[in-house]
Amino acid sequence: MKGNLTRGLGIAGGLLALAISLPAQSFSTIDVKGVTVTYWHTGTGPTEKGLQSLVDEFNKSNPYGITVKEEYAGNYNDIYNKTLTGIAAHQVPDLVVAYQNQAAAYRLPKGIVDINPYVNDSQVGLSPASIKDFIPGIYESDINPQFHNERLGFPHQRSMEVLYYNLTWLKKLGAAEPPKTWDEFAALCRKATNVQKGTYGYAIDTDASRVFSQTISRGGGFLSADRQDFDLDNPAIVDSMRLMKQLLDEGAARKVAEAYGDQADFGNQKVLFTIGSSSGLGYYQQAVEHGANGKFRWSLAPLPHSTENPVQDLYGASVSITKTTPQRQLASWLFLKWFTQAAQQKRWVEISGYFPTRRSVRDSLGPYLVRNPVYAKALDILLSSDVVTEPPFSSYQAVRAEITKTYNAILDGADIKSALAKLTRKANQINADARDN
Amino acid sequence: MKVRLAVLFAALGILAFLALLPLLYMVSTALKTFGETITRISPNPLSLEFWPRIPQWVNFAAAWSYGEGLAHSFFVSVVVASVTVLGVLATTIPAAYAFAKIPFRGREFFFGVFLTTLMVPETVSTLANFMTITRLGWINSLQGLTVPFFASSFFIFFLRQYFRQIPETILEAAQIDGATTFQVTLRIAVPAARAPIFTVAFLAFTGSWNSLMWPLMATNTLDWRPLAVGLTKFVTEAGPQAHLSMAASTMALAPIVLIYIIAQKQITDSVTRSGIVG
Amino acid sequence: MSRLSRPLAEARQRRANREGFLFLLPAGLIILIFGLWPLVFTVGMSLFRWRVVPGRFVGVSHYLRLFGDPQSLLWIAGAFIAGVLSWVVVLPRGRRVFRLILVLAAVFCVVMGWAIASNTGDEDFWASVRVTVWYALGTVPAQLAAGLSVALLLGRLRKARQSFRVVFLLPYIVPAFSAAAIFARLFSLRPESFANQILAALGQAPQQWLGEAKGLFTLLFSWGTGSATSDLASFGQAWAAGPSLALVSVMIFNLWVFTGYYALIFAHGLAQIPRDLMDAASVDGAGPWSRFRYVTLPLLTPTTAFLSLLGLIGTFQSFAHIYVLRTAAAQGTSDPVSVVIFNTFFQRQDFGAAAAQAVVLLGIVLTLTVLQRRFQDRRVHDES
Repeated sequence: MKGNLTRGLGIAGGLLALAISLPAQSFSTIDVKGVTVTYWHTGTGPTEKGLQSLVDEFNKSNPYGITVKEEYAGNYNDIYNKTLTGIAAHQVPDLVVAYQNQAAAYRLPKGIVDINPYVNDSQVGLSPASIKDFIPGIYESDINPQFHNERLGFPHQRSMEVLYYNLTWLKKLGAAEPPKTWDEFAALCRKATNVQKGTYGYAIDTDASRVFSQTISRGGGFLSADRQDFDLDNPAIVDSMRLMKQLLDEGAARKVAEAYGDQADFGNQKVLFTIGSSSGLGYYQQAVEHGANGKFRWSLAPLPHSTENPVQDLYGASVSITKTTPQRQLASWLFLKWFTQAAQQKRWVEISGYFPTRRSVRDSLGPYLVRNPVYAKALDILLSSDVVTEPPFSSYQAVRAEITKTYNAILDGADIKSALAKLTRKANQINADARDN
Repeated sequence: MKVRLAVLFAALGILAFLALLPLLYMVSTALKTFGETITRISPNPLSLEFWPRIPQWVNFAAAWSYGEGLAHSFFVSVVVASVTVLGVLATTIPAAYAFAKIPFRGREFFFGVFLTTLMVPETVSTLANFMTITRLGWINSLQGLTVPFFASSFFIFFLRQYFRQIPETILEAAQIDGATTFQVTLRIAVPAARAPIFTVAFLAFTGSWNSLMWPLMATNTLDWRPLAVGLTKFVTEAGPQAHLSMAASTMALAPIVLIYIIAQKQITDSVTRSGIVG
Repeated sequence: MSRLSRPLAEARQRRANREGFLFLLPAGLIILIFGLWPLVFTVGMSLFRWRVVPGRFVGVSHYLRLFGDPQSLLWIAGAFIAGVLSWVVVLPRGRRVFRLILVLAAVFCVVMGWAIASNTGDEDFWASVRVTVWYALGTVPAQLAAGLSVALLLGRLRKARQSFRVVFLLPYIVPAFSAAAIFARLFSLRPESFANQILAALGQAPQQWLGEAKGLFTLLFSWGTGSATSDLASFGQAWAAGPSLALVSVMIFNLWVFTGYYALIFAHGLAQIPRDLMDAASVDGAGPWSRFRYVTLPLLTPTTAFLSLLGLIGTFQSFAHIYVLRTAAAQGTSDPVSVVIFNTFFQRQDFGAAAAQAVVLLGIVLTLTVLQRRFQDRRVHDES
């Protein structure tokens, strides 16, 4: 008798334990019919219109009965400020564009959710083949080690740091191709400099992404060995800063004078090289078309590098799902899943000019690539280079500002080693502080 | 005498020129083509390069239609600013009169409290107010954009100054005649301080028209997006196309200037009079 | 007679209280909810770790981090004591010297406390307090003087006054960031920019203006350079360098924006001056300068007092018209406290620390306001 009872209890206990360890819900039991979700984005002008038509199509054609409302909510900084405020006041949209470090800042107060459960779900998730289609560097970038490798965003677009160069001028200076090493780069900058004509080699932009892209091109990075802290005074950064300071002192490089000043100078054939995001392509096109001394041949290239292969800084906002109700979260995921499918990606590229996040999209872009040869070249660079992404810590927003400050201080003459040591200390202090609440 | 007038005009002329110079720059950029904005640049309005070769009036039309929703935002701003002015006057006039003329207990204390609220930095008050508005359900609404600005200690103290100047004798006379304090305020104090009140109305209108941080937080949709927010959106959209962003900025400016010129008549007429009757 | 009038006086007082309350109610309600509550909320927030959502209670931890070495707090406390004493102490035979000594002691304590806090506490915050002080010194007197001058000049006109007034108000009406976009061009580091062209006309080398982090005095006289070891020395050096050229450019911008605004308010003050007084003075043979000095200026003091008080508060709080001109190259030398609070809030998502900074700023402004009113009480020509 007792033996049976014990066995019975044991089996019941085992079943109970099994039930508890199973996932709390299956997504297929959640009803999303009639749910409306809002999506905050930065699209303006034609991009916004294109997005609206995509969203309209989803609203009409999706089998779940979900309605999506897209809202322009400002530029990335505005959206970041608004979302933080919104999380504080418990008033958030359902989907929001966010850079990886911004997503981390949302995740700390539990404002957004982990997307992995959705991706990996057998019913509503992605098939292994679909997951494989994502460009590896991009797909991994939304995994955040600060939060146990949760997936804090899903990628719908990316762009990349590139070197813009004036080909016509380059040829005049005796070079057939854009520089592959930093020494070649420096030499060409010097050759391009002419005080009388007011020309120079490189327009220095002190944004932290410029520092990152130069650092990784020398085989370095921003993180310490254990990837938990910042290491901002390693040799790669020191060398990058030293070269820039040197070029500035020689007059071969100048600081950017005003917003879009580097593009204007490029278009007016005053500067030979600029480094910036591939998403600025359209503006460069415009600047060249209307520039002072007529049109010229120009293109973009990977940054010069001391590594074997070019190493490119890849960045871009993904879309995060905020913590609301299970229904709205699932509805948000279903839209996101559709939005990042290859067919929609192709259209998104044509609307926005960003890079797609799926490999297969390149093949379907034929006519677009023909119309936009410079974009095609950039896409090829993306697919053939080693790509690295910037640190996804929630403290990175503040650290970026410190990096820019230090870069400017160095250009003004501060001692490089001590300035970078001080920067590292401060960055790690901010990072340690941002770890918990 | 003529010489003195000439010197006066010269001095004012130079100052006015300095005040106008950046705005001339804005208008001249608005009338250039994109190419000219990056090639034909000069800081000197006396040089030809400052001005466009051919004024591109079409830029204004382009900015108007390129920026989707600018027209709508324009009307939103008119409504929001007007309602704000009404609310400001409704709260400020009685409060200023009370501080100036009613010897109620605790007057100094409340004065200090009101003054202290001016010292709270914008950023932190924005968060607290945003949370309040959210709780009230006033996001994306007219109330959310106007009510928080209905009372400003600055305007209250400014008007208090002018109410204080009204001679007690007049007020007492009216009270003896049986008027309530409210009637005294309305019939005597307000007309006497017509000029400062119009100034308060104008400043409140301008403040509302140009405010950016709050509407950015408090609205998400086009429905109640005021012009300031729409303008920043447009400027982001336009990117390096300075001719379009300057055209839009000029257009955002025009209505207030018009309103001011209209209200100006009222203000100046009162100001040239020697102040208080009697 | 007095026994009869007391109940009447009380009734009158009660009526005044009731009316005062009612008249104050609409404004008071709004200010309570949207002005006072944020203040209370901010103080509360400063006592917690608050990364977007409330965390654990930490009491004055944020404040301690702000001040760094506790010694700085001791000095500040000392300053308060000395300051309060200098106010309150009733001196035998009214010896002025003692009061002066106490005031100087208070100032000394502030300097010591501030110097220590600058080096051991939140560097950026205390640097921004210095920026704010420079900004206030550079703008309030200048804007008052410019506004008054324009108002006086306009007052003498009859016909063209309207048009001129509109012209002077235009800078205030232009949205801040549109005006900033223009100023950024006018004051850019390009040799062809407006500011540099003026320098060229004066035979000077082009400057980086909004991108120049070096102090004005460093550029002009080479002050504030060299290495400093002690807290006090590096503090003194930072001050000796003066406001950065970027900050000076921002001051010029704000002067341009607000002169017309101040002129408008001064115009009202000027209109209060009875014409007959002015006429009497002229008849007595007073020239324009004497009339200004002995009639206009004294009668204008209520307006001047009002404007300098609110100008001071407004300047310490000023955000929009400074933030729009920030450049990376300025390295924070044009960031007043309001901008640092904004960055602590959004860039660092450290709401608790930002709240503490806001409370400290509030304390500083409150102290200055009290000091200013005290100063004015001794000099203001009261309207009778």
